[in-house]
Amino acid sequence: MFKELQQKCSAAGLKMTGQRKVILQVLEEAEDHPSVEVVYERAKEIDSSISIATVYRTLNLLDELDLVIKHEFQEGYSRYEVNWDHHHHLVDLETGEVIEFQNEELERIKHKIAEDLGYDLVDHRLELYGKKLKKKK
Amino acid sequence: MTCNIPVQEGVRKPADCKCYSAVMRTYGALRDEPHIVAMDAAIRVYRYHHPEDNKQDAHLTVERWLADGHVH
Repeated sequence: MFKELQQKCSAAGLKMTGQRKVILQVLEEAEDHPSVEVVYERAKEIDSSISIATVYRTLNLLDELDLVIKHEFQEGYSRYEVNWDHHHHLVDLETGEVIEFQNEELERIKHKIAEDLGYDLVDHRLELYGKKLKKKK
Repeated sequence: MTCNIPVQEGVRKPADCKCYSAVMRTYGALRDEPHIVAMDAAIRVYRYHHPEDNKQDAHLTVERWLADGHVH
């Protein structure tokens, strides 16, 4: 996953310096949505020479390149997560094959469900399980 | 020399199961997801093929297969 993220950055024209790699590593490993300060603290543990200005600059660049998602949770600061291609899985129960898919209608419905329940959708997970339909003769 | 360690009670041997490759394939395909997600999917595939197994035995079997198959 980390390699994939680095490749995306390089493809987007971002020069991969050692410090940027550390920041990407922190983002890739994060299971929460860390703020700039949290990214800085975690990055500093790996490379003590990293400054908060570098973290700010890098996160802004990644945001401009659409490689991270910037969340505003009305806390007075932003939180970041890696912008992986959003997709879901359909697992074929008979063969174990896993098919990745995207569906705009599903995306709309998920947000609507959360909204109807009075929530702003932040995260979710969905796996479908099925068996192939038999072809009619 | 053959290994005489008995298979744990409730754990099926891969050779006994046609679904072994399906279970391993599912876990392997989801290995970039959190372990618990890939594991849950692999167990669902297993239980589709073995509805007679209880949840705990299914979990034990899949866990053993994954450990022996080194899909990590």
